[in-house]
Amino acid sequence: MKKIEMSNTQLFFLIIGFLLGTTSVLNPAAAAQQDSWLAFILGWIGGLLLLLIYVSITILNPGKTLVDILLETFGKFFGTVVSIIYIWYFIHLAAVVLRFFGEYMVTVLYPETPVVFIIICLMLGVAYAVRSGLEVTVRTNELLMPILILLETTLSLSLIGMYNFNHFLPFLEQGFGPILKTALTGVMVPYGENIVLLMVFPFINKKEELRKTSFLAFIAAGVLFLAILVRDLLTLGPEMLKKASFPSDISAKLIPGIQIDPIVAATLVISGGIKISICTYAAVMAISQLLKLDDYNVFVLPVTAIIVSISIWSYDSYIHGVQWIPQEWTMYSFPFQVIIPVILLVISLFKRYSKSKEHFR
Amino acid sequence: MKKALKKCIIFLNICFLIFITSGCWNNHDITDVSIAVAAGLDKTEDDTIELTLQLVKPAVVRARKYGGFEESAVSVFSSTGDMVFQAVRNILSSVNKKVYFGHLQLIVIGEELAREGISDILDFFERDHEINPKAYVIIAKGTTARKVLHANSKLETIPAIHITSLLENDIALPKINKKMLFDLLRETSHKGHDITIGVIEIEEKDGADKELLVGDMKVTGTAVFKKDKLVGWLDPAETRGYLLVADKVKSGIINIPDPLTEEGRKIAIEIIRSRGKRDVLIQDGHIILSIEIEAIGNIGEQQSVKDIITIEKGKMLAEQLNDAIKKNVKEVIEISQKKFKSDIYGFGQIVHIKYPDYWKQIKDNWDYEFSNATVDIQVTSTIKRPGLITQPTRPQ
Repeated sequence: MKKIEMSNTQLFFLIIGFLLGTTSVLNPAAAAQQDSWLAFILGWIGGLLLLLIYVSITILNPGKTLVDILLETFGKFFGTVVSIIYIWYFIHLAAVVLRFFGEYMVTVLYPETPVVFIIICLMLGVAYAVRSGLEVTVRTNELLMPILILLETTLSLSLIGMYNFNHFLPFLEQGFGPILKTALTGVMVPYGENIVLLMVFPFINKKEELRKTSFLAFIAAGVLFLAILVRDLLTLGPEMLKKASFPSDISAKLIPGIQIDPIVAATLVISGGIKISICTYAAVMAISQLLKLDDYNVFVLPVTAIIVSISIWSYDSYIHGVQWIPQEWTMYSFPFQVIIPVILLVISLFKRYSKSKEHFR
Repeated sequence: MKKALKKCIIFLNICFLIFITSGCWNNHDITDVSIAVAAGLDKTEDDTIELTLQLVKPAVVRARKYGGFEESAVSVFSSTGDMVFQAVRNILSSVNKKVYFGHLQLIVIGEELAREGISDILDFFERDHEINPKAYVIIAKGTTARKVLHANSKLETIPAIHITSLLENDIALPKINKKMLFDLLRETSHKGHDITIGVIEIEEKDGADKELLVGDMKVTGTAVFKKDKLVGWLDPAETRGYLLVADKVKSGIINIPDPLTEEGRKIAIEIIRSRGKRDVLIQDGHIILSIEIEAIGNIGEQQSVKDIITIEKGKMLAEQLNDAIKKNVKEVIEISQKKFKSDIYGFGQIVHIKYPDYWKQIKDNWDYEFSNATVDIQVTSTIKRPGLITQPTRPQ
């Protein structure tokens, strides 16, 4: 396999882009209304713990991707089975993100375009990016991500005149129940999806700085998310925030004196594209590693085709989708995001412990 | 050979890109759409909704810009339907090109329809992706939206733009209640907040057969709603009192009686800054609605002969201004409490924010609580400058 080089800055922007994904327009915590910021912060802390687990797994197994680690810990047979399940998860995740991208475009910008067409157009770009290799994807992302951050900041700043701080109140009106529920969803979507990055982490140049870089990126993405969420809450108010299909779009439409709401779609193409690319990359990479092949290019087109079809089949309508994500999708992701990584961490720690004990003798 | 193949592939790629990047699926050229600038909604006699659209003729707008072109730059069409969207589609039986709503500036709602409730008809405007939430909403008082949109303008090429720019005069004339579609929807969804919308009405005309112009109409005054149903009106002076409390006055003139000279003489104060603060206090189970208004003004005009620029007299003037504002505000809050029982200031929302538990107990009969609450009005005004002269010029 050819050597892949990735600098720390590139990983930093990659994590930000990956986390923003399509979640930036969906406003993951909107269900908690005026307390959504609190739900978001709780979810963010939970996500930080998960990230700690993922990074520790990589550090305990230096230079190994998720598939290598799985094969090593669970043995050849079970390792292969679990890897195949993970490959399915990566593909499914890419499909879900892709579908939400399509739903946004169809609802807001192109109401008469079939969603398949939009999905295929984005997926062609993604396939090209994945075929060109991780380095190219990551470098493109490094170029685009500052633009995205600039655009989001511009949107948030230009709405400052519309902010109404009363929308934070009354604090804790519904009690902690809905907040915790929203926060739990927030841990799974998008933070738990960081598990995909275990396929990317081993390629970083300075391995000793992995922990620092990923946490910095996580904090930066959290701040960016919070800026988006607070902007939507303060401009729209809790009631509108809850009922809007895509809150970011409505708040962008309210920018006084100028009509720049398509910027939201532009940010979505950047961050959604990166997230889908990384998921696709992880899937094809995992397949080629399982089959011990040097080149994963053969798998790119089949896998993209599968992702497109799954994204169409995964649910019938937007309404189905929004209900399905917090209810079933989070339950379904739980083993991938929490249970298996925790088992991996425990076994890795145990191995390390016994190894060091041997060494000590 | 391989090089030729590569070139061929690149060429094909470019051709492909031309197709996928040059426009969206339902691409319409600007010449193939009719651009709606204003929409009017009325109730017909047989209980359907009548939609009136003011459509722009871009070629005429351009020609009139260079003068000497008498044709009207807009054409007005109407259609009916059970619901708004149906009426929007039915209009295509008379309009030849598909209507584009992206430039909609104004939504006029007829009085009759407003009395039956507006939230049903506004749903389309909130849901459709083309509609700009920054469009203004206005109620046609004593007339129909259809008639308002049929009026022509002598000042603007597009009559709807004339009306919206009249609404934007609210920065200098605090009798105009300008309401954006989005703000209206947001206020409707707030708990404990009844809505108000600006008003357009036709003034008396000289000749009966004269063509109606936007200049013959005025946009001052306010329509008061309870939930989403129109219940009554505030006249222009009352509108000012309402806007002062709602903290929406940017600048305006208040005439006060001259405290020094004989009856009937007046001084005009130009309010240059004003701040309205609403609060709710609960004392021994009694709700007290507290209103604080801070106004800063300059002397704009004086009828009397006396020199008023001394510290004591300045204070007297400020007192007079306090009284004038207080009277104005009190009158409006009494109307809203007793006559309409409609919480147009959003005091209920303040209770909801400040006392969430108390709000849960009283929210079902908030109307009663609001109309029986004690009101406490505090006005502090300052008069800053006399203008270029300190004494009026009078024959000696």
